[in-house]
Amino acid sequence: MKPDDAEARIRAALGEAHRDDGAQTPSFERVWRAARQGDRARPSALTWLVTCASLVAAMGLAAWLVSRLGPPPAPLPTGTHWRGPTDFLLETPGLVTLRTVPELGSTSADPLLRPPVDERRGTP
Amino acid sequence: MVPAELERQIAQLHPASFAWALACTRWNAAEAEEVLQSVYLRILDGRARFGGRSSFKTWLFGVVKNVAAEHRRRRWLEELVPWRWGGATPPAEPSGGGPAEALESAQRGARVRHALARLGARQRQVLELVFFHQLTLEESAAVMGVALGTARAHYHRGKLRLLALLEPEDLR
Repeated sequence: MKPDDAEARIRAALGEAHRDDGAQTPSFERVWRAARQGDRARPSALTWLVTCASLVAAMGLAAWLVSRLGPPPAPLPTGTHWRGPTDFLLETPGLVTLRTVPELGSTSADPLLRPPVDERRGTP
Repeated sequence: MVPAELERQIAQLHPASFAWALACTRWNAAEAEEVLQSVYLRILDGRARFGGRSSFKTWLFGVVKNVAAEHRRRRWLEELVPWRWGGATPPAEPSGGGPAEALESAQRGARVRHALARLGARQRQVLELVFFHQLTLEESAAVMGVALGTARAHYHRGKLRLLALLEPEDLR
């Protein structure tokens, strides 16, 4: 089969496939009118815009009212003020010595290393 | 374009547009009419505008093809819903009866449609556009939204496949 011959036959076959199209084709006026009615029934872009804006405004108002009516939120504990329950275990006798700078002539800052005061001294 | 002029051009192309919509919906006449109505609605409300970058027919056919694809996707989703199973409209069958010649012609048309349905969507589209709607390959590529080389490849493969699928009596 020559290429031109094949193309002519395909064209004829497609013509056969579309043979009943004319009988099925709805009138232009009917389809156009239905589309026009659909166009009128569709809400316009302005209607959509107004609806969306109203919805957003209502949601904002509701959120504001809820925030006003509810109890004030409790301050959340922050990491800087938090003290662990086992922190006392870190309180060792040498801690004060480690954290402070010793001064000449002064006694030890650590109460645990300070010599006991003799309350009987000076008494007759 | 002036609305009256637009309406006149659409009316002039209405039979061809319906034939193209039929091909895009696998010869489902009810769906093709719905597609065409959606196309006209889009043109009326300005969602589809003719930019003048191609011929009016090419542009209109492109809109029909896109809307038909959307309809097909929506229909596919609707069929996924359990209570809609089996609710799809079956494709229109060729009308029987009448003289023997008309009946034979109708049967031949049905066989061609069946063969076309076995082609890939793009192969079917490009053959329809070139052989039935007399568009060039460039215009067909524009309607299909593909590159010219792609359209050409689908055209050649589709032609060979359709010739292989059709029986000799369908090609008379």
